[in-house]
Amino acid sequence: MIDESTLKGGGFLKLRQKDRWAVRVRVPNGDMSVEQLAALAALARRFGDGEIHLSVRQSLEIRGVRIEQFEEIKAALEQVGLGPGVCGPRARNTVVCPGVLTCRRGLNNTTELADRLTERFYAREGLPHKFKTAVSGCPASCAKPQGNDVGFMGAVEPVFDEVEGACIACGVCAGVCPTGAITLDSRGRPVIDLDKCDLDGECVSACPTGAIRASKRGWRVFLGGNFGRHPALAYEVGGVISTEDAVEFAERALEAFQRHAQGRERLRVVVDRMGLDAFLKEVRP
Amino acid sequence: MSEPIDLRGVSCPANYVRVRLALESLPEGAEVEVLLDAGEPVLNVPRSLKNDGDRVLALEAEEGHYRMRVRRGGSRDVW
Ligand code: SF4
Repeated sequence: MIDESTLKGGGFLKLRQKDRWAVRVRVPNGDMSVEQLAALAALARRFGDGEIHLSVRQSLEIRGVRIEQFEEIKAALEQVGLGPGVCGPRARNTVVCPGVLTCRRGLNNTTELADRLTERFYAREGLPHKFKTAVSGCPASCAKPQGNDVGFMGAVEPVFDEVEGACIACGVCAGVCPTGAITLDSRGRPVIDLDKCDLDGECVSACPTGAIRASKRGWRVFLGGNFGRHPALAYEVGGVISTEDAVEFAERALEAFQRHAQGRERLRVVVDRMGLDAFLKEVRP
Repeated sequence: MSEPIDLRGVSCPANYVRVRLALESLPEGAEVEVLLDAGEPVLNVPRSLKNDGDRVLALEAEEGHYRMRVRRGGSRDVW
């Protein structure tokens, strides 16, 4: 017999209805093949109440199943390359936007980073509380990196490449910049103030000639965001880091969270008790 | 060069599609002149052409609109 906490770890949630459960299915990066979707529909028809629920964190749930059906459903999911999601005090699925692969605004490869984070600690157990991560391709923040324990946002640092002499002094770069970081000099060429720049890559994308290009492409880092009863936006940690370093940062933040939480606390509570700087010393010594 | 394609008052993405179609009807290296409204059109049409691999040669503000010269193909591959 399976006890309730095992079921919860495997993405089974008790419903209000007597003897009825929901199976949470992880949808990696929010992408599914039509074959997987058809298989899921068949499972929902066979074991569930005939409906599929879309969770707010990119999982799908088959509702109304019975506890005895657990193993059979799990096996059927595995056959099409799917698996149960997680709940409880564990490392949850990474919520991710489409990013640079398809979105015109995307600045970086969100699904690559999300896959790496998943590989590293998805479903890790023994945490003080849930641990949520999100990856957004640009400052539009569709995946809400600021609302997660650790979040990453695609970033591009622009540079005006005068050497190439490509600039046609059109002023489009200054026109698209949402933060007013670009002014035009007397010849109509851009002067970029990086202190004002929010690294959204708009000028790089909009410049018709390529005279402004990306000098750096990476991730902005957010720590300690959460919603729940005490919503708090994350602290931005500063800098633009590589995919490699982003995975390490998330891992170390998770470990520091485990070391310093007193009982059932979210990461934010730990960070605020220790102070952001003290916590960061633990994360990047 | 022939008359400019006047896209004043034509909004996105119809303006871009018109330029695209005009360029597609011409050989590689051919140039067209286009009038584009200020605001969204001038901020977006040139970048779409760049993404397609065309080269914006000139883009200048005139009264309330922009005059753009674009060559089919020949963009620097930057993005
Ligand atoms: S958008 Fe590009 S070509 Fe136009 S002024 Fe800026 S740098 Fe120069």
